[in-house]
Amino acid sequence: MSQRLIIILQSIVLFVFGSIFIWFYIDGRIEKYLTSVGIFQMQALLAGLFLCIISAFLLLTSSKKVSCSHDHDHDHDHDHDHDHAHDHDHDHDHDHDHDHDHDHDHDHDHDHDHDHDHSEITVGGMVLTSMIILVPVIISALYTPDAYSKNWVQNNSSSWGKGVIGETPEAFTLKKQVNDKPSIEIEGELDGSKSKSVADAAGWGAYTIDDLKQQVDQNKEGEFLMDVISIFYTGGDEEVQGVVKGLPVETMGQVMPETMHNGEGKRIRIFRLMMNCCIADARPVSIPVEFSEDVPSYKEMGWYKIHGVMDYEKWDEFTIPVLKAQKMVPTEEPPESAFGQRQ
Amino acid sequence: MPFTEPSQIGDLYFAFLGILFEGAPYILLGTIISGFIDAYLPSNVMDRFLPKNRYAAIALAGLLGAIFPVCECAIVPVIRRLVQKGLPVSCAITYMLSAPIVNPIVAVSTYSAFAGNDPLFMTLSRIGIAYLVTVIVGVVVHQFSIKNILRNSLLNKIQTDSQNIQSSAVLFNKEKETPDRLLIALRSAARDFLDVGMYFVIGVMITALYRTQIPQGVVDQFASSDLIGIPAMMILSFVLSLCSTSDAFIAAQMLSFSSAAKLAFLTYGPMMDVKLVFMYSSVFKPRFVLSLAVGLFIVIGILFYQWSNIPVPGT
Repeated sequence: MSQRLIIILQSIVLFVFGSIFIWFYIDGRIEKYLTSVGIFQMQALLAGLFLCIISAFLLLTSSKKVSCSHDHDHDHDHDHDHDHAHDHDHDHDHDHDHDHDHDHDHDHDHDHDHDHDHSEITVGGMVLTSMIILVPVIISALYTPDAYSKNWVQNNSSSWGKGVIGETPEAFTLKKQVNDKPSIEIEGELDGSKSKSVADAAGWGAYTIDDLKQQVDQNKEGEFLMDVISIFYTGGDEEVQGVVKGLPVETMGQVMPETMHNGEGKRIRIFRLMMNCCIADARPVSIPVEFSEDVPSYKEMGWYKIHGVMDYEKWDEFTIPVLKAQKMVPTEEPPESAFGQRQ
Repeated sequence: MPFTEPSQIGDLYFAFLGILFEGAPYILLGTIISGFIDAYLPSNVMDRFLPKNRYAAIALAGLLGAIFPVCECAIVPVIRRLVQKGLPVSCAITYMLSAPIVNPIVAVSTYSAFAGNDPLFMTLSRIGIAYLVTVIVGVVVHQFSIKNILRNSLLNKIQTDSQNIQSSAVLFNKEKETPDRLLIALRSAARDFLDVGMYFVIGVMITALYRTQIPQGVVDQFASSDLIGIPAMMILSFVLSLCSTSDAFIAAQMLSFSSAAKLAFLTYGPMMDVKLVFMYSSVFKPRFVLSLAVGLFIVIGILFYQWSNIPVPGT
């Protein structure tokens, strides 16, 4: 009986666990937790479905006694089984004997299994395990705000004075497709090596405003719609800066007060979250925004669209993109509030 | 829609669920594999595939991740079951520690995370030293009795199993009740999922607590020298409990630390971290988990401190 109770408890835990996964997936809130790059969200849905299926299976079969006839934990069986095995070898073709042997085994094993399970898991232990798993999971699922607070952003802002080091992740480099495109029409194919060097000379990677137009959409006013993280990474590439500097740009993100290089108090910070797999590995990537007059009143951590012109500054050894803002408009939080970086 | 506004405690729930959604599918996968191993794999079948020489077997076990890539969450239930099925503990521990690093998925993610910063050298260093460390651990573990290593509950099972080698193999052939086997597999899987899942939940809570409640820049002050930077990064990897497939992206961004410190972070973390301490406790005696944590810390620390004297190609 207690065996059955344990299985029922297990299946309840699996069901609750699994349905939280399915709930967040169907609700679309999984977007806030896992990157849409790769299969992380699909994995979560599948895990939820499998957990519920296993839970249902366990519940439906909970009254069934399992014959642990294979190699499970039974000291006493040992010799006995061994004998039977010999019988089996001898009576190889005799089905009747075989069945007989088997049933015998079955009963015997069952007793042991039963005893054994009693010693391994108790109902009390199972209740404790269930609570340790379910209490934090249920509380988190019910009370999660689906977003980080100001406190978290401040905890993760230690690198905000620094610019780009190393290579730009592919998802945010403006050059990604430019470098893939065939850079020149090959007229004569006789001299392969020559046409290759012509292609080099014609400027692989020579980044132009036309390349930017191919890469980035423009709004009706002709402003380039660039996300904060791509803007941040332009700080690592002088060639791109040469094109982007002075261009009108529209970007979107959450804003916070600016704490550095802000003597005149005309600056704020705009940031977006960048994550690899899940929101726990996310970090805020940000750029300073400068107004020509006083900073208009805004809500910290609020979502805004900012229209302005791109500029660059040197902070120590880093090049920092600065958006010279002309207009700041409150906006809705996008469904996918963090960008995925994985390739 | 969520029912609450962002808050300091809300950060904890948010990060906790994030890691849960990311990690639990792998734990489920691991426990389902473990359940099916329980129901379908006869004991000691591994002996047939592993070299007879134990040291050769350990060396091979360290490479198994290349064929069976498993991350550190999924491997614990699998290893627990394989040990019960007679896989030598030394080989099991080497496989357990190496598989989350010595595998193609992690090689690719490490390579792309360090793009532009000697990615090949970094990737090979990570995998090479991880392999070396795990083989050393396997060889050391081999010198000890498993009574000092495994939890008593596991020990009882494995002993009877090894006495049952012959009978179980024959019984396996005789067994024809497939529906029963499926039931055994899924019941085992459920039990393992709850068992390992409990430790996972505790570990994830502590990780989420650190990740959301403490200024993340505090570690930067330890970056000044390798003597402090390497241990600091290993402690950080222990607390952060990142998944081995994504930790390279975090390490690559730790700009103030040296390459040696980053690699120590990427080698220690997948072998030992907060959630793993709890998950390992479902297999090993507490004293062994502690020894493993300290031993790995010292060995990996020394290796990377020496490694930092190797000239980096191209500089």
